[in-house]
This record gives sequence, C-alpha cells and structure tokens, in this order.
Amino acid sequence: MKKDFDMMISSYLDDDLSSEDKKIFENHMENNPDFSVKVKDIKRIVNTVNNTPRLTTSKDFLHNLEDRISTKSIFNYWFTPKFKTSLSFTVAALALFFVMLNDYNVKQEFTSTEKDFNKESLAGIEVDTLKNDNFLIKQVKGQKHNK
Amino acid sequence: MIDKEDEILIEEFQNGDIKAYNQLVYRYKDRLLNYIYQFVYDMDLAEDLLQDTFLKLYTHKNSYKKIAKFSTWIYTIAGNFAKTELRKKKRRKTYSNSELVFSETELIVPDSSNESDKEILNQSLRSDLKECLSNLPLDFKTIIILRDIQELSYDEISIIVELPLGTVKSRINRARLKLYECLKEKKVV
Repeated sequence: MKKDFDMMISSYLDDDLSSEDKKIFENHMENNPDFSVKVKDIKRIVNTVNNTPRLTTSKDFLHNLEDRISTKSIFNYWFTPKFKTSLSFTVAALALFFVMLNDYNVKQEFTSTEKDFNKESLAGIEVDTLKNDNFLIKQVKGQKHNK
Repeated sequence: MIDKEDEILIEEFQNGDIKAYNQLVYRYKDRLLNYIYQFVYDMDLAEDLLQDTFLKLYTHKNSYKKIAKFSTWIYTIAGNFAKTELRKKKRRKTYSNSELVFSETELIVPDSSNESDKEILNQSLRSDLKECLSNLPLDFKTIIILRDIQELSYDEISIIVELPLGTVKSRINRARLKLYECLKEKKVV
C-alpha cells in the first residue's frame, strides 16, 4: 500500500508512528535525499518554534488583577440575591414607616383642625357649637338660635 | 512541599479557598501569556486578555466540572478571549505592521557582532518564522501554538479545539508543512 510520506512527517517527528511504519518511513528517507532534507528542515522549524523566547508577566500584573477582582466583588455584591432581598426589605420597612408617620401627622392635623373648627371666627363673632342629644344649639355670643 | 494538582486546587477554590486561586494564577500566568501573545502580538493587550481570563476564572469558578482537565478549560477560556479580540481587530480594519506581525520590541535588531553565524541564522529564521506563523489560518495557527509552543499533548489539544484526535494530528502536519513552504519561499530553508 502506497504511503503518503508527507502526511507522516509530523507523526515521525513526534515519535507517534508504529515501529513498522517508522521503518518504512526511515527507509524512504534513505532512498530519497530530498525528502530527507525536507524532514530535517521541518524538524529544525519545529525546534525553533519550540525555543521561542518565553514571555513573563509584568511586575504590575498581579496587583492590577487584584484591583480588578476587588472592583468586581463590590459590584457583584450589590446585585447578589442576598443583597437584593435585604435591600428590598429595608426599602419596604422605610416605606411603611413613612406611611405610618404620614398617617399620624394627618390625624394630628385633623384633630387640631377640628378644634379650630369648633372655635371658628366669623366676621369677629365667635361661634361655639355645642352638640346636644336632641338638638344642636348654636350659641353665638350675643345671639341664641335653637334648631 | 508537593505541588497540588490543578484539579485539587480548583476544587479548593470552589470551596472558598482564595489561596488555591492564587496558586493557579501563579502556575498559569506565564504559560497563558505566551499562548495569548501568539495571537495578538501586543504585550499590553495580551496582559489585558490574560487578566480577563483570570477574572473569569474568579467569577465563574463553578463553571468548571471535573470531567475535563483544568488546563484544557483555562486554555479554552484564554483562547476564546484571544480569538474574539482578533475578530474585533479584523472588523475594525485598523492594521499596522506592529499589530499584524511583530510587537515593537521584536523590531529592535539586537547587536549581533559577537554572535556566531549559526546564532545569526537562527535569529533570522526566528524572525521569518514569526511572520509565517502569523500568516497561517487561525485554525492551523492555534494548533501549532498549542503543540509546538505550549507543548500540550494531542489529547489535550483535541479537547481545547473540540476536534477529533485524528483531525488534530492531520492539522498539525499540514500546519508544519505550510510553515515549511512559507520559509522555503523566503529561502530561509
């Protein structure tokens, strides 16, 4: 069976051929000098790529990463379910408090208005409204009306 | 002190141990930097993308499942960031020589007066090789980087690039042949 020796080059260089295929391949190299040169050139290319100078991270890298993580953690906390729940409860409690406070103030105001109403002043005449069981007596200073 | 395996460290981190996370960062930062750099050829950008990778590890630690090796998982994340950046660059179409082929430091020609002829030839080969590598199609380039620079096994590469083992081996061979053809045109080999 005819072998595609070009397609076997990498496997040969990576020592990934069966012993039988390896013999066939090496035999082909012996009998074909140009092919042998090609294999050596590719081997050299692979070694050069392999020996590419290795980079290292800058001295600020870890510090910058730490900063980004801290920022992300604070941001994420604001949107965690736990925080949202506690925030919701806080807002609801505050809203209830203000409603109740407002309600109390309204009642207070109403009560004082009622008192003011009982002693309203009409054109300088003070009217006292007295509630009786059967009738309402409006006593106006200087005048008496029975209803 | 025996180094813990990656899979143990990630499990510890998933359980809340931040020191395990730090160890993983130390272990992989340079490796992944070299990997990402081969895509973008820009040191600052490579570090930014590397930070994105580790930030994702921090925020999505529970995405890792024990069925795969940690190294393949983290390489996949880093590779995705690098490739996304490449796609953005292509869309922007703001090419310059330094972005395409070399970073600025690579253009500085070192003083070779005290070097042997062999070393000078090697430098020349390295320079042309870098250009040929950058011109490879992305799929081939990724595989060459993972195999010949990162020295990962075929199995690991197969998982990262999500291709069958046979396809990975075939692509490595074709990528190397393409590099050879490119360098032959430049008469370096």
